[in-house]
Amino acid sequence: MKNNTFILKARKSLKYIILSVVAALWFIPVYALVVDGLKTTIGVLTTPVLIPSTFTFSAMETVGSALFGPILNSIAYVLPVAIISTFFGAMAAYYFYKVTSFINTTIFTIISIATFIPYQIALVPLIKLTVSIGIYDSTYGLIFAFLIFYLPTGALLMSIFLAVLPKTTLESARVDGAGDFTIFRRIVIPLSFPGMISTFIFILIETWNNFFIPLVLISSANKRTAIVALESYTGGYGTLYNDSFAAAFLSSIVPLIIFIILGRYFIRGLVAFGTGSKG
Amino acid sequence: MNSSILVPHPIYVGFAMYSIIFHDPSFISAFDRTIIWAIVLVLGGNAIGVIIGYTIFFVNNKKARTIFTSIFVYPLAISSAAVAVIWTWLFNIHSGINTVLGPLHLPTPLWLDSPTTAFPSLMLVSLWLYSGISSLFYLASFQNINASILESARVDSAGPLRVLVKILLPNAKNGFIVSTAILFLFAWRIFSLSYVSLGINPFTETLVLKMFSYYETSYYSESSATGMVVAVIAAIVIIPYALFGLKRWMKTD
Repeated sequence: MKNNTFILKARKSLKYIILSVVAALWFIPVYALVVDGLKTTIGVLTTPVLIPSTFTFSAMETVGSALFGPILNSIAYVLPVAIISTFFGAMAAYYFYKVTSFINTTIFTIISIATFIPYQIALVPLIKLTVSIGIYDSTYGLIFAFLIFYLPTGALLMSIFLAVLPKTTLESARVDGAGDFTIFRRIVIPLSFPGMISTFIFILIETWNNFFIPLVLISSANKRTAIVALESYTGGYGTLYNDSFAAAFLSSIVPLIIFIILGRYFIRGLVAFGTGSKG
Repeated sequence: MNSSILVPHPIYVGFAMYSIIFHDPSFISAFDRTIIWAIVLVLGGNAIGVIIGYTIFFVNNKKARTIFTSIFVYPLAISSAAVAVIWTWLFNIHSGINTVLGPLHLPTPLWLDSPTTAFPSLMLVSLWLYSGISSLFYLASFQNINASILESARVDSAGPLRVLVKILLPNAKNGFIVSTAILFLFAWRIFSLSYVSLGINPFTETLVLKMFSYYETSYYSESSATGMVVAVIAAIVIIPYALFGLKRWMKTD
């Protein structure tokens, strides 16, 4: 019997050891991101990527001043996209929640397709469309393009979060004579608020991190987004890697901070994105 | 349709364009590569996802569980472009991970520097990038399993492997379906990882990159046709998946 508990304990600690080793492997890129972005030029020339050396903020400062404009450009399109997609997505979701019909099911399937299809396939029509309405190479063009893909995502995610609301609460509000907009504002939004935060954060991070859409829709250098600007620090021979890591760190700083503070909302969004459960 | 910004009067050419791209050897190799990537990511991502999900499932401390989950999911919160920059340097044969693997007498491949290892290296990064989401889905499935079933297994002192094979996996059908669909679609739309690390490269080009390179070289019709091929194959996966998901969402009320 004693032997048995010993085996159980050994098994348990073994599990922790395995998990910690794998987690450490998973963590190496972040370790490199932090350590190497803070290296001096001499440190870069004398130490490999995985070995720490004396640290300085000089690479961060140089890269930071170059990326400041692009980071502002990113904020300018990311916030409107995330806010509009979440809000109108929630409205659409409320309608899907209220009415169940064949047409609704069909629209819902189309929304799923729009959410999951590789967005790159819209390359040629997207450029044609933005050029013809005169918003190519502008923040408006970016907002427009991202809304095409993230409004459906917002509607899909919010439908998943709304599905668990008690139907009786809404019924009784309707009996009391509340209109749709009142119910949406007074009941749906407060009750699904955590879901709205998840949707907002998920869309914010995804939109910020997107590389392809700004790559093809923005041609002026001063309108580049943070992630596209990062490309010029890719490296290759002759570049110093502290600049590359500093650029990767700074262009990801907004998603990283949000993930560290509100990671559980992002994770809930990811789970909902796939399983259609609240997570 | 032969239509583009530069060709204002489209000429209808029917399916001829598809015949053209399917006779382009670089399109065919990009097509094959995309399929291979999808298969590797679906199989590898599911396997790693089960292992991670399974080990996290047995972590009893709630805080530790959150921390471990975050570590496996954080790659999804960083841009693939940043991931490409980081891994390009980690794969650098002079200053990257080879400086640690070498002294440990582990193999030190040329990673991105050789035509034969460049594509497998990118697939490896994609496994690091996307396995975390698969583990989330498995973990969610495992947590839905009735606690009494697990309890009785514990009373019978069933080994961890038996619990996994006999109880957890048979009840993780949803986790499997969701992981498979999502990993397939993610593989299908990988762009910036390849593009930022190696550019348009004949040894790592996949369909979305092929589509982009057709576009960059002004082959607009070929580009659109490639987009259509990507869309159709993705839709084959998405539609049944959406219907499966729909059924579940309908059931929730």
